[in-house]
Amino acid sequence: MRHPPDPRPSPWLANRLLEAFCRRDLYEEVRGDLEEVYQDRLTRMQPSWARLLYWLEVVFFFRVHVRRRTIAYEQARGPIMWKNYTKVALRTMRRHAIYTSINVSGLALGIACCILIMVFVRHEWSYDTFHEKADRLYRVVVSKKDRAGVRTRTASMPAPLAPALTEEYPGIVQSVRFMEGRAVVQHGDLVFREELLFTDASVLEMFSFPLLQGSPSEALTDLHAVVLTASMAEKYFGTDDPMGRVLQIGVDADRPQLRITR
Amino acid sequence: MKGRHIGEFEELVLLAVCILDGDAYGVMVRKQLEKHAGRFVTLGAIHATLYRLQDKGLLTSSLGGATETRGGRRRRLFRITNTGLEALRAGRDVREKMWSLIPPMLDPRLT
Repeated sequence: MRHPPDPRPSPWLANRLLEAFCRRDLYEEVRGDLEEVYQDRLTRMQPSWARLLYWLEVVFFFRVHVRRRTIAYEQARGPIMWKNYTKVALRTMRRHAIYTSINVSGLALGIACCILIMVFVRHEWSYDTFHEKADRLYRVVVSKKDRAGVRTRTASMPAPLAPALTEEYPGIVQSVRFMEGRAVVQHGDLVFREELLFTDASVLEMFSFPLLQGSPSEALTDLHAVVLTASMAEKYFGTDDPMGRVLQIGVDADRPQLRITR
Repeated sequence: MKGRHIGEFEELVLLAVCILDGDAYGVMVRKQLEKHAGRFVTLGAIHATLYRLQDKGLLTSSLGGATETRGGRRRRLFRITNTGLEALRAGRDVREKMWSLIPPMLDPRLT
């Protein structure tokens, strides 16, 4: 069959596209069919319209059955290749020793720092979690900026502040103050220098210190009341019950009563 | 006799192949569908369907007959298989049976 040479060849770009995605074994017939339809359309309609339809046909050819079978790469699976990978890795590292050492030590340092920080933070947060009211307890702080612009915070302030604030602000329910001190403590023959903590009676209600003997509402009711730890009680009184006993503080005769202990 | 389940489009394509009786290739099938079913279909859809039907065993094909119009490329001719005929018949039987079961209604178009 003789035909005149095609006046307008089919869109080359569309053909390139087709060539890109079409299966090799079907390409010939597909291309042929497209070509035939195109030629046929050229006799019946505007070339531009025919070309447009050609493009449409090509684009819609992009279908499962016509597409190139993308080679399903077999997944790397299991430890079979690992031996080789290790060998190669080791060799490479040996070849570029300096680079490797810099890299590795950097990583090691980084990881070590990370671990340290995590341990530190966890430790810091592990204190004093047993207080029930912990989320409602706050600490009053004085913040100062000295001449050099350095900011410091102190929790040390005039003693009347606590009761004053508690009274004036309804939002503040209770307050407690602490003062550390050292004094000579004596009971009979046992004389020691101890570390003491002076505080308000509300301390037992605000903090959840478990008392081995006595109750929080009855301990520390007057200025001479004391609460001891078990170890200290044992130190001064041995196995006897320390409740209600007396310890002397200071060199003058000053007598705090021993009430609820531990 | 268990016929394969075929979709509507697939059925039309199979019928077209039967009609063309040995001259069935992409372009011709498309012409038939356009002529008898009045549907505009892309060549891609037709080819994909033909290949799928061939994979299912309802058609066979062979290459042959290059022409100038196609730029010297051969065309693939499809022929229906026995299985394909079975499938078509099964479809038609089911349809006819169900048609006959429709109770006579006032609308004459339905019977």
